Amino acid sequence: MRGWNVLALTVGLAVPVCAQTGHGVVTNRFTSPEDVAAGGRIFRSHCASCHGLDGAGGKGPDLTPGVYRHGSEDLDLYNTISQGVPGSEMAGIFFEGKQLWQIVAYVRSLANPDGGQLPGDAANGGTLVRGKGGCLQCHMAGGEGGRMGPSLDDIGAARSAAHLKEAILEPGKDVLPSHWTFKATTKKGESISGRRLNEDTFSVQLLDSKDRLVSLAKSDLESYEIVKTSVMPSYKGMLTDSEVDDVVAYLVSLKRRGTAR
Amino acid sequence: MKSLRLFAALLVFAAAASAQVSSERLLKAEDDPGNWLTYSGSYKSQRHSKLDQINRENVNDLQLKWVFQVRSLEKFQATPLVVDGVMYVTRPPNDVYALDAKTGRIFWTYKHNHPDKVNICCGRVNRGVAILGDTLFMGTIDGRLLALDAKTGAVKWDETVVDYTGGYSLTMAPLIVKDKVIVGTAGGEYGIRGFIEAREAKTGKKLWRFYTIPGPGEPGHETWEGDSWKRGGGSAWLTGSYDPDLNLVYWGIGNPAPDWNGDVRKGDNLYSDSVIALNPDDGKLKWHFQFTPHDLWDWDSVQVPVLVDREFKGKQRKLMLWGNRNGFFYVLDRATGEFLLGKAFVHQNWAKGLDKNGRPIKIPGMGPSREGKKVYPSVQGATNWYSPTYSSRTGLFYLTVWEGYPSVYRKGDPTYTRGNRYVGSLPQGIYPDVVNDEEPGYGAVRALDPETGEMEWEFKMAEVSESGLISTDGDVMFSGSMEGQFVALDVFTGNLLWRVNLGGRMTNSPMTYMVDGEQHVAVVGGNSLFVFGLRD
Repeated sequence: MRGWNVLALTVGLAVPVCAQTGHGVVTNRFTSPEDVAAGGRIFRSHCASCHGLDGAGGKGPDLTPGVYRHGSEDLDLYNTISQGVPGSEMAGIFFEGKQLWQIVAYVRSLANPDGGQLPGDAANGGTLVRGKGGCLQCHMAGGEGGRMGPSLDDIGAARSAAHLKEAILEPGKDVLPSHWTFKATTKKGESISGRRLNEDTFSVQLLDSKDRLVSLAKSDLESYEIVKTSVMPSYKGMLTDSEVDDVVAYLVSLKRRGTAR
Repeated sequence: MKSLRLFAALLVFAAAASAQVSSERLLKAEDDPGNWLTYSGSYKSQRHSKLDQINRENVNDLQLKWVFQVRSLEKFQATPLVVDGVMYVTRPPNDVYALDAKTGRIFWTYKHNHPDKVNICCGRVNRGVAILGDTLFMGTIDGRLLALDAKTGAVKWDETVVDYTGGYSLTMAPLIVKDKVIVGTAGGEYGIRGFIEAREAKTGKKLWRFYTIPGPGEPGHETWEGDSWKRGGGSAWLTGSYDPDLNLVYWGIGNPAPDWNGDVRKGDNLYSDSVIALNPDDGKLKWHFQFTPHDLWDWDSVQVPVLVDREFKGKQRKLMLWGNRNGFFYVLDRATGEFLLGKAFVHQNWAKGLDKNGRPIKIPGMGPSREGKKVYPSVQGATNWYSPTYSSRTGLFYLTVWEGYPSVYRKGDPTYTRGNRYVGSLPQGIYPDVVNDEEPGYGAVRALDPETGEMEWEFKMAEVSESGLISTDGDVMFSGSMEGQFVALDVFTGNLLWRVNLGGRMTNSPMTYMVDGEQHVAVVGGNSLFVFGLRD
């Protein structure tokens, strides 16, 4: 499915009404109110769990600004929805042709570039992240910080403001398996713990508390446990409400240069 | 026993914690044979390891340790790096994996999101990553250079080096020199104007760019007719070498464009099919040597420059050894570019020989023609990009050769449109033929004496090979073939010591490393990376 040819074939055969204009730009012709409504139905059942019922984002990014990380042309959106985003939690959707173009139409209808102004002060948020919040002990931002938590360098493009706020106040609510903690005692009595990166029947791979990539044979371990809660503390009460808003505004601003189109 | 191993492993990891890959460590990579820190193993690019645990006496006791299947049908050409027990390897085109070098289990994955339509002549390939500090660097098929956190795979920076829609792509493993990341661009079949470029490792900021096709006012520009330089090719798609004492990086440069019709680019077409020596601090050219002036056969000089310090004709010299796609073996003085020796290492019928300056004495009428002209070597060359090796223990240079393979070169009419193929030809057939009406064409590993260019021995294979080579202080070398046979040879004699059928062609150059006190050898067979070690 990687080639244009295959896609063009799919689009061309299944959806002959999709226009191809002068310079090879494919535009969506399924943009009627009925198409938008049909796209909305699919969106709610397949996309809303991450992007929110209103498209304002959740674990997945906010779609309402109308500028999309993997391309803002109709065909870019079609491809992103169809194929998913490598390296993220977004898998490709099993729709094609007309129905997929209807999803594109619905996503476009969500665009509200003037809305969603965040209340916080991003500059102060940056100061809090580096100072009072102590966030860089575990998170990386701008080339500094730790690795126990996810890198923040592009977090504003990957997550919505609401999800980030929730993660700050209730960090244990939604912990990905890649951030579970593995704790072990070896048969020699040594204690090892770290982020559990991978595991199979016989071995486990960690990023340990000293930033080392470590592979352990389970046969060498006396005991071990997997801690599925977050090691991150809740900032409820540690930061004021307005400080949390500031941190969220800062995090939302962390988008890798040149990636949104 | 197992807990003892764990303890040993922990000691290794404890050592690793403070042992980031500094530029000083890269300078001494040869003396750190347990790790494989650069594409060719060291700045000299001899692809020779000082490891000797696996040797001529015990190599037939190798067994499979683990396999990494890449789940990609693109050609798997990467050489992995190994740093303190962690292997870094790319899945074609541009996904990166950090693996436990002992078990092959995955630590982390970076998945690259690239455009659907990227024009690459010969597969969506990648030849590996480079490392400096705790950062990995990778060029991508869509013209980007990425910096990844070696501990997590997180992107540190992501810079566009060149607009891929113009036919450009980055497929080589970058070369780290001091605090710089140096890459070149592929795209010689798309009418590009090639270049080598340096970026600041910490930030990705562009520091210099050297165009391999000189522009107006630059030396060498006169070797291009009219505006042909603007789309003259001169790609660079394989990692160069570095001499820290001379402070020079060396790079092999690709074919001129269009490939098979030189009528529109009369002249020598510098610096296509050349080796260039650049100052890594500013990208200024120190010297160049052109192997095939006005190439008409697509004989990229994209081979790894092998740097050797040894006696030559009674004098200690800093040499560069080069088995070229055009069928000739060269010895150059790498301080000056002086031509010292040249000799054909396969049957060829396009040149009478080389003159005293190393320039080929071309035989008239051997270029592509409308009706087709059969010429040796083939369009795939007498050898190609896959790595040769040099062993100071034997003093021999080893390379993979295609003997007795011609192409029928046809001339077509090139039309340039941005980002599309610009080759000037119809497809050529490559087929086994006869050298002297007796012997069919074949693939082989050959050992050459750099003093004379004479062949010391050869190991013949029924099929041709796109496998590189590695030699070790255990006096064994490893190679493979399109047949899928991975072989260990005696470096002194070429005798077969061990073999195994991996069931898929070797498409990279083997490498070796040590983990937990055990030497391993890694090679691609088909779409998997196979790792071998001595029997437990």
